[in-house]
Amino acid sequence: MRSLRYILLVLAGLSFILGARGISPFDNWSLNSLFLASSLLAFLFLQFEARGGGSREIAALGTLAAMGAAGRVLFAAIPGLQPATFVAILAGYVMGIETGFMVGALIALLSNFFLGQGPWTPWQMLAWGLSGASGGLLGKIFKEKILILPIVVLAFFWGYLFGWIMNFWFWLSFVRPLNFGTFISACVASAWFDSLHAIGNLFFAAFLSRPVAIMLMRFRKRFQCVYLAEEER
Amino acid sequence: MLPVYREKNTLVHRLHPLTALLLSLTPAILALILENPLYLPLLCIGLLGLIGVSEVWDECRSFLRLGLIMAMFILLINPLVNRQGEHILVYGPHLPFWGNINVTLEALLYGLFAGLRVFVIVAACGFLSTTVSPDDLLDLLARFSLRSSLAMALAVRLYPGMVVEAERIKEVQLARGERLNEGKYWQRFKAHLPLWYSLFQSSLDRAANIAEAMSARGFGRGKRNVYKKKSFQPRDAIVALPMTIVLAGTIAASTAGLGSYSFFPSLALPWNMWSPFFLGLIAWGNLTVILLIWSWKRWHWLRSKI
Repeated sequence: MRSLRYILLVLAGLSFILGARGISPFDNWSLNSLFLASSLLAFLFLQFEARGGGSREIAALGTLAAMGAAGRVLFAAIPGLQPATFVAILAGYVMGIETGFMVGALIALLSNFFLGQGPWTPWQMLAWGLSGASGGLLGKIFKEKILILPIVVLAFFWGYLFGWIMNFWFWLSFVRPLNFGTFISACVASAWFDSLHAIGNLFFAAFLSRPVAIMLMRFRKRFQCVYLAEEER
Repeated sequence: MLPVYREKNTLVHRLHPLTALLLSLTPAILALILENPLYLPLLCIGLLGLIGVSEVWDECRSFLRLGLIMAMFILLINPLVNRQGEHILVYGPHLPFWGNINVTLEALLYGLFAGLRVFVIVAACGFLSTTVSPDDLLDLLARFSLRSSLAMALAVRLYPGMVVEAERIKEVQLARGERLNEGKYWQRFKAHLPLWYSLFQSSLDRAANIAEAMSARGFGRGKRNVYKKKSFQPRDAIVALPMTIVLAGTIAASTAGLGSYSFFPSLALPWNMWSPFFLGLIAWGNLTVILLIWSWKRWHWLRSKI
């Protein structure tokens, strides 16, 4: 399993380098980008697998992913407004970088079972996974404190970043020529949806961060087990 | 309408998930590889035929609609942002920092090609979602990544329960005199917040119970037993063979640069000496599988043998 992880990473790197040098067939960025995103995701999933994790973590992952997906499906009628980003960020903030990534990635995979799987799924998994991981990084910086403002700012920022990552996929796959101008055009075209996503995240984070973070911390502490050293007993 | 998998009595629904994955993703991968506009319509017709013969037309309709919307969007945006091409159809206004917005024939046709490409990909994904059970896909994932697929399976199971729980909490709140559906948008948003807290709390409690139940059953202790629900059958080989030939043939020919085509700076004739090869290969692959699925439904002898 370990060698498979690193083979995937090497293949992704090779595919990127050959694509960047314009060597056929790797210069077909529609296919190459899909391969890059999928292999990066597979690597991160296998990394999580190798680390292991108890039943508590798996149960929490499943529940949080279901919560995020339920929120995404419930708000599907309003384009851009989805609590999935907020759930992923908060999961990362309280439970750590890896859990945050996995919750984000699983929210995308699960909700797309109801909204439709497609070539966008690996990119959404990656984008939401990274939002969860960034929440984990924020949690690491502020330790046990629940500070609303940084979470709100991060959630707002991810409203746009998520859109730009998805635009990047769209731009690589379906827009030609590949230059800065066409990428900006794609971002301008989605600005309204991205803004709605960012504002939605801001509200979710401002009103739900504290109570939900307290609940998650309580859940984490409930299963926390600390072994005291012999001399401390 | 949300796309939902429904069990049906067709050959595609009886396939091993890996074969079904190959069958669904082959048109999507071909659409991404092939750059000649001559082949995409044939690929699109073949895929629509596959959807029809697999009896998932109604289930796929939402996907086809989404594909059409995305295709229209690409068709509109491409000629406006793409300034390549020698044959200018419309001289547009001059924008600061951007330049002239001229619509060229090449950019317009590339937009049409990219739109058709996205339609084929979305339709192929719709075909996959409506013909392969999510449980089968998760079983497939579990062979490589047990813990994440277990978390995923748990989430799939918890999701419907969560919706029922949300309804129950809502009814309790209404019975207590909460005015959830009255007032302005902002007031309704605030009234719904306690519902979210309760739902979150009860879901986490359920997660704790699940974790304890898994520990009690010895999760993570020792080697795990594997239960295979679906095994490979002759029908899988018969469907996978033409798809593999089409995919391998197209990849090999494209890598050798035989199917390449460029819209810019000016359009070239899409027909070349390799066109009959690509068209024949795609048509043969599609027809073989469509005929097989059609015959399996009507020919009892074939059904009993494969």
